[in-house]
Amino acid sequence: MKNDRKTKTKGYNGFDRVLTPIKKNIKQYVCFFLALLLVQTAVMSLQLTFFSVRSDVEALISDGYTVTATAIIDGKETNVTYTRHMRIDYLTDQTRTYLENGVNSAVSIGQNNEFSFIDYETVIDAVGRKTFSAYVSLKEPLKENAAKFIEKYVDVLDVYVPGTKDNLAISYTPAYTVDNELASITADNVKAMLLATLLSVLALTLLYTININSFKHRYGVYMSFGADFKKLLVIASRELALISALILPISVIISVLVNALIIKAFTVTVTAFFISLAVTVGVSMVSITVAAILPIKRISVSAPVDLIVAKDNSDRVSSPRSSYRLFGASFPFKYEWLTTVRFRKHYVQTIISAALFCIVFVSCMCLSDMSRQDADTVNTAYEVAVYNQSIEDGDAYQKYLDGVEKILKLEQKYNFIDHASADNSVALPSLNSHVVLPMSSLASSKSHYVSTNDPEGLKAAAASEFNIASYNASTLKYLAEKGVISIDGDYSLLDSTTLAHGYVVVSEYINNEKAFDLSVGDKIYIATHTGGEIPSDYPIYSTLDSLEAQLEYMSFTYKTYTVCAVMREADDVGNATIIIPPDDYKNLCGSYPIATLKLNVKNGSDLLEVYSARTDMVRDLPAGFNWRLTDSTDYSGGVLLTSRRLPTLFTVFGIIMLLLSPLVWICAQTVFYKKRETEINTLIALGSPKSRIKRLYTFGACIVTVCALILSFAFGTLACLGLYAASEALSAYGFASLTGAKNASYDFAVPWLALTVSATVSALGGFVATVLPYAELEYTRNKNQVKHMSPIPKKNEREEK
Amino acid sequence: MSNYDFNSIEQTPLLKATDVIKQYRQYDDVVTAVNRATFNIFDGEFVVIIGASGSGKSTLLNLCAGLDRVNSGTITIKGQEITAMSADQLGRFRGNFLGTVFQNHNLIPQFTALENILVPTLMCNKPDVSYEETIKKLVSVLDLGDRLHHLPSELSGGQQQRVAIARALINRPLVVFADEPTGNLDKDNAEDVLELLLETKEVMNQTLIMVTHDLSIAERADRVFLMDDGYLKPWRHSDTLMYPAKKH
Ligand SMILES: Nc1ncnc2c1ncn2[C@@H]1O[C@H](COP(=O)(O)OP(=O)(O)OP(=O)(O)O)[C@@H](O)[C@H]1O
Ligand SMILES: [Mg+2]
Repeated sequence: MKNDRKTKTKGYNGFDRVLTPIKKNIKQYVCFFLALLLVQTAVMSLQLTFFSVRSDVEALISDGYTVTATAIIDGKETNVTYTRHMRIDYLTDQTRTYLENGVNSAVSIGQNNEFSFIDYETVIDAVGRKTFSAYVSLKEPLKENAAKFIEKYVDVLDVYVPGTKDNLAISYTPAYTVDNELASITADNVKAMLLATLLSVLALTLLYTININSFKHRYGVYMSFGADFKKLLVIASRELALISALILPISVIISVLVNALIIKAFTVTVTAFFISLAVTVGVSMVSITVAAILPIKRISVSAPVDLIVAKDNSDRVSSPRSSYRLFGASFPFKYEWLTTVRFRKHYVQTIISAALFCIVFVSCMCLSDMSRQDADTVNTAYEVAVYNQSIEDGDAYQKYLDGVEKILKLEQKYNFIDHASADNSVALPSLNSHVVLPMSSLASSKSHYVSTNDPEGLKAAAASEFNIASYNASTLKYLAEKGVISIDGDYSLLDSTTLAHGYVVVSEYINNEKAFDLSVGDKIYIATHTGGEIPSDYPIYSTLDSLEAQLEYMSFTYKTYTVCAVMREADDVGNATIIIPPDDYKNLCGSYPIATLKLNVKNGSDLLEVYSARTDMVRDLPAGFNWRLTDSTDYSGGVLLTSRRLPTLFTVFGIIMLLLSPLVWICAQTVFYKKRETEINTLIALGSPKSRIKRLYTFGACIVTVCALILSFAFGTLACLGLYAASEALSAYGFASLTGAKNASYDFAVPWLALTVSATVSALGGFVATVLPYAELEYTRNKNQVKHMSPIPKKNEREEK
Repeated sequence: MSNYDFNSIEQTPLLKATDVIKQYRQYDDVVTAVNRATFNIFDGEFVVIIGASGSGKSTLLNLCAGLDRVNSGTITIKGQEITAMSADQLGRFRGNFLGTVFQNHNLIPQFTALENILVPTLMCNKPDVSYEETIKKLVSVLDLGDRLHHLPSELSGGQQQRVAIARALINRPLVVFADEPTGNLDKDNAEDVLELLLETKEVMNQTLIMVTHDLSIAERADRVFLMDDGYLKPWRHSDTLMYPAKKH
């Protein structure tokens, strides 16, 4: 009973029991370490990204996002927020009254549960009709209340004025969509987690299956001494749980860095961090257990003897029938070829597993490209306008113009603004006005004019498909520089010093069709209504009808203008435009021109950066006017999408997946050559020279490299074609595309870079993974010549000693 | 022991094998390792199986120990038909009632000797057994005291074999299957190991089934079976001539 102390079982506790096989078989477990690292990193960074995006979106809503303005209240400059959710366009005088009455009655009897605020804005459309837009602030829950509001107040309008429903346009403001977006990104997150769990179960199951030989002997012994399926499952998942716990801190650090890379800031709260951590641990635990089930089940139903001898059988490499010429001239090539055929299952399994991750990578890159295309089609712009205010005196107008100048200069401060554009046009028919032009200025089309005489008595053409607008020379210069218009002639004549000269700038296109052919120096006359009215029973079906009625029943005075420049608008929809001096604009329209300024955001900008600049922008708006800043972005494509996080997310996820591919290789090839160690050592013992052994490995490496290269390229291309086809098909049938975008259409491009990278990584992974065991063989051979010389059971070797 | 009445027909056998067949198929050849083996083993017996190398002894032992599956026939232990059990039931049965010494030890190479000995206690938790005492006893008898914290690759063949024996006995099984437990041991050591096996058999009222090439051990058995190219038959001393001619 010597060394009694050592017989104590103390110290051999649970932790040791789990750790021992891992510690001593570290090479077989390395791939599990790395796989869990990647799984945890992917899950955790997805979670952190989700929380970051969520808090961004929440910030948007709490900001009172819809409309923000600087107004003078009690002589003090104040930021005012209008939170609106819904807009109903194209209400007529009549429908507006009905809506107002309906809504008011509801308000008065205290049933205003769906909305809290409604107001109207007058809009004059392209043909000069006066319409109204109603703005509604809804109460929570926005979606249901919007539906209720429409059902209760809008749908009934159709009963009073048939046909109303078709003419109305209902749109939702960002606050409404963003609110819904919160629910949808939460759903997306759940979906992403399920997918991540599925993928990690797949990856871990693959690793288990590849590695199963290294567990067989040990588990066979366990089973001989009483282990059943449950016991083995507990042992297996406990081992992986330990690995997963050991690797978790590293995953967390990487995830935080990845999140910072995607979001470009550390915005995660402590709560969000711990929830992410919990989800990560949960997903890894679930995938560890689920991944172990199938392989362990397969082990547990086999006879222990088969498991125990499996290791020895695997040494029989070449077929007994074809290995007799092992050392013939064709060695090692023929030999290795036979080995490859014999181990075809291993090769097929490994190559497919490695290729699978390459496919996921290429797919992620495709999705990243697609979502980038989605994001580029989202038109982002801020609209700035003076709200519910008109300018009647020249001093105020000068102040206003200074303000516009200042707003145009915002472009220099906020570099996400591509350019600004301005619009203060009013359609001539709405002013009961028209233009008289020389006959010679008519282009081919006849449908745009009515024959008349000009004030000098010459035969001329009258036309009313014109908008009147007014910009000063510096604004025009700016617009020309930004490509909003192109302009020929000397538009500086428009400026105040030359006002008296009566110069105008004209455009010649109606709905993208050249209707007029004017040149610098031409004289045109703009009519000012002085009296008379069109009878209410006069049949008006078109702009030309209304023009004819004007000429017949109304009286006008004409002001003569000289064309100083001819312009072409980049966006040439609707009427042609005449730019007149501001005082003339006031005479015609009743007040000085107030433009809607559009600050167009550059394609590809980071929208969250744009959002966060919003408050600053409002502060930068010039004082003294009731400015209103509105975001006209369409958010229905998803906040994540429009915020352009999605491409980065796909890319990062894809790269993580790609890194799994060499892992599969190294893991599989190490185990494979470990299994062949005895065989190779026997070859050496039988006298095969070192160079031949080296060639044996090189040949194996070449086979693997070529197969991996071809397969990952082929599968990658197929996956990519499939993704584009699927997205197109989904869009064609009205579903959201794979990236979540609606009505998407994509330019297909073969992702050469991604394919090359994935094929290279795959081939290199395969090559290195095959050469590594050789390096190790060399190393151990130099260290200990006989250690691996054990072609037959160790018993004999022991006896020799 | 010699006056043990093994012809008693009233006693129900502890282990009952009927028409057990085990075949291995390789390419076009079929090897019948065990051919229609039918026998009974009674509670408390010490049975030895001898036979030429490759005659199917280990195969038969593995089948009886529930480590391998029969092609046909039934094996019943303690009234339970192990050939009809599911893999899980069989596993638990092995853990609770059976102990095995493998011919080639099958120690887990990553575990130390002590850890290897403790494997059965971890796989099947018998609540009433205190392992400390058992281990102390086994270790001192098997003279493993100073090798407990070594890996199997650092032990001699004989030491590995003794570790394997300790592992088979640690759980106090009802039936011990030992495949050449003294094969790697010198005469004295072999004697010690045999004494240990027989002593524990007596103390714990076990049944011992042993495969061996050592005829001196066979002499001490209650009964001896001869395995002859797959066929199992009772062995008489006159058979000595046919055996062990092929022994290597
Ligand atoms: N897994 C197997 N696959 C194919 N044949 C096998 C397998 N295991 C054993 N055999 C064959 O079955 C026969 C019986 O083998 P077994 O191991 O039972 O012999 P044994 O009597 O124990 O021999 P030894 O005294 O050498 O241990 C042998 O011919 C052997 O080749
Ligand atoms: Mg044997």
